[in-house]
Amino acid sequence: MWSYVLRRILYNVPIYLVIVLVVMAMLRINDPVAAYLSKNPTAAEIHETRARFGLDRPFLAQYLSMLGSIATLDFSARSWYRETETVGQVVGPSILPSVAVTLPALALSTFVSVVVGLVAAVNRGRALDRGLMFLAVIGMSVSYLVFIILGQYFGAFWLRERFGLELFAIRGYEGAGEANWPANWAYYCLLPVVISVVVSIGYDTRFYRSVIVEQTTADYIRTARAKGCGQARVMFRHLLRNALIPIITRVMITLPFLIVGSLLLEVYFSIPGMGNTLLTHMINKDFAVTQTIVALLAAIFILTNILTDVLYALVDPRVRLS
Amino acid sequence: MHPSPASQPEQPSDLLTARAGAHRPSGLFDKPGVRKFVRNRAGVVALIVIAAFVLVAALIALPTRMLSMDDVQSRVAPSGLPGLGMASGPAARTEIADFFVREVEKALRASEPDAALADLRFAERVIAPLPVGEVRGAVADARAAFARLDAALLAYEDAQIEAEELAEGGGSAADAELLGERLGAARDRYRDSLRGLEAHVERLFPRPEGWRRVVYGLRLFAGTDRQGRSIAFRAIYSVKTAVQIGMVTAVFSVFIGAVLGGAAGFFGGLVDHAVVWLYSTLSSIPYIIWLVVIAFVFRESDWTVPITGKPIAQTLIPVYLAFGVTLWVGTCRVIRGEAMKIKGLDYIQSALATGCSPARILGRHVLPNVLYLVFINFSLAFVAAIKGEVILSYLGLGVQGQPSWGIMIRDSKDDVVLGVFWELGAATLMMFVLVYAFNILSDALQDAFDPKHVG
Repeated sequence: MWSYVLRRILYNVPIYLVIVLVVMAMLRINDPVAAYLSKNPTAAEIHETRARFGLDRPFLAQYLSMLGSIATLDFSARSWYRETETVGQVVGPSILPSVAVTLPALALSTFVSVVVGLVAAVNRGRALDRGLMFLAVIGMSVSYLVFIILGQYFGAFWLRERFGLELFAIRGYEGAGEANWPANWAYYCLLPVVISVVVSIGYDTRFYRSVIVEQTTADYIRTARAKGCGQARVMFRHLLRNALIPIITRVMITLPFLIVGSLLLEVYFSIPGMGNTLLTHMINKDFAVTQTIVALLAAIFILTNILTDVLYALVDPRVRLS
Repeated sequence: MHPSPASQPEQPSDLLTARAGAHRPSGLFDKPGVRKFVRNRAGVVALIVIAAFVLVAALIALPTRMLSMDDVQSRVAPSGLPGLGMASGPAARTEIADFFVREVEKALRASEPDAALADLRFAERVIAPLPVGEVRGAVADARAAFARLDAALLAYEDAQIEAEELAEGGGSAADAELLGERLGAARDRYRDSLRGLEAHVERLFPRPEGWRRVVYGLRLFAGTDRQGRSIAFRAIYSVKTAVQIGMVTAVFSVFIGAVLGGAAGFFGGLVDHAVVWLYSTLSSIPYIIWLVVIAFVFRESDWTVPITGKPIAQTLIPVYLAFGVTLWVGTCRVIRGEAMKIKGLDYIQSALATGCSPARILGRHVLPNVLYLVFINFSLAFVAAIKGEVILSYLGLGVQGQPSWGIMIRDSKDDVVLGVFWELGAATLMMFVLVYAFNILSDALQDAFDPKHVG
């Protein structure tokens, strides 16, 4: 098992090194210092700024120091936009708000979609199944932004105006660690989470349904039924276990899309997460923070890839040996 | 999904005609998958809908210029007008009259009223070619009519309040009748003064006649946005933007994905390793992050497009690049897997054994068997591009200088708070129809061509 984990890590490390290289090179195609300074900077200004931010060093040295700071999680370079703070001080506080939206959304949407997919698969071909799949395609055909706009309007604004129910914040976020944290979380994050679930449920349900339907025609299901297993036992003990691999793959594949969605949600609901921070600092030509957040997001993605492979191996022992 | 009688085997008579040579044995409609697809009514309808959208896009983009930039970017009426004829109430009519009179007054205040008046046009509603003095007179008349209208409205409202009080208090029948007459008279006076006002406005802005009237009606069909532009025409123009983005992105990403995926799956070995490595690297960064990076690079650059000389930041090129970098990966994965599987099948081995060249095997034996995957991935990439455009436009990184559904949805978010849904609704509906058609189409393709697929 451990040799398998090690092999996966060794396979992914060079990929990550190249990603960081590509990102750093791309961000330097158009001189970031000239863009950062005012319209017509003098050569001396450019030179001075470049030296101040350490961009005058050879590219290889910058690359190695970037890798070093990722490896040690020590981001002490200065932010270009908020000049009194380091990159670490800018990025650090944005991680928790992102996680507070992304992880519950992922867990909830997976759970709901698997359940709905199971219900549809069991009733395959009946009116319930057709109705659910029809709704799923409709949900897939509406823009994410429309769900957000309407969700905010009806969930936060309309409820408040019409019924005086102040269930959700229209926008904003308050940090964790305060006394009323769970209530605060529900107030600020639950609505974005629900919107995120509604958006992804269409795609996920269809996928899980087809996975489960495919399994129901498998021989082992017939065997299980033949030896007299009840419906529940067949579904949960035999079928769902074998459907785990596609489900895990799906969850992991969804992760980068969650980042996309959470960027949109964070901007719209003013949640100070990583996506929001990235966008704010990108617009203000903050080269250092842009570079770091992109590299960190790629690192998170690579880590989830490794985790996926390990989960495969845990679920299906055959994977380990191949 | 479609257990219709149509899926029963061929009628004997068909078989006879086929034997008699009425059908060409290798014709397009004789392939079982194609036959199955044509029988699927939803899929065919979806295909027709998509063709209609592409046609509209072509009519806008080609020299026919069904809609010009002027049609979608200029003011045609007061801002925030509701659509579907809901602007026909007295209050809305007053507002429209007020808008036109105000615009004329603004032009009269300009340093050169003649020129300002001559420029005054709202699509089909063009100002009448009157001398300035006469225009001034008409405006004064219109203002006087406004005063009369206000007085009439006040009287009408008073009568209404009295009628309500009477109904609550329970007055005598004679009183009620008298009041009813007064109420009717007040309403008539209000209506008449509104008509009088509109007559004055029509002296300034004659109502368009004939087909121009129809076109103006279409312009206001879905109301106007915050800048008084036609929502209906903007939503239709956006079809071109969407098809443009979808086509370019889908053609390129599917082509690259199919070529690389096919090569990786078929040749294996080093090619396979290189392709897999390339796509695992690129797809480690979500496309939205690629887009932020690409926008960071292009925003402040002074690069221009070679021939037209437009700054790249103002074209769709950054958008294409961002989608192009990531969207080919899905196609590549699927085609690679399928090519690997096909490669191991007996008929490929026998083709190899009979000495077919790799090019012949790829083109003649592998490609036809993965073609349906190419089509499915084309429609998936198309949908992804259209939906991605909305997100990018909201973030300010998307389309510039022409309307798109993304821009319309973004612009409408402030109206929604006021309970106004026209712009959001029009853009969402148009986009929904196209994306829904693509979703149905890819399902139908899968049903018809994928033997493993279970509905």
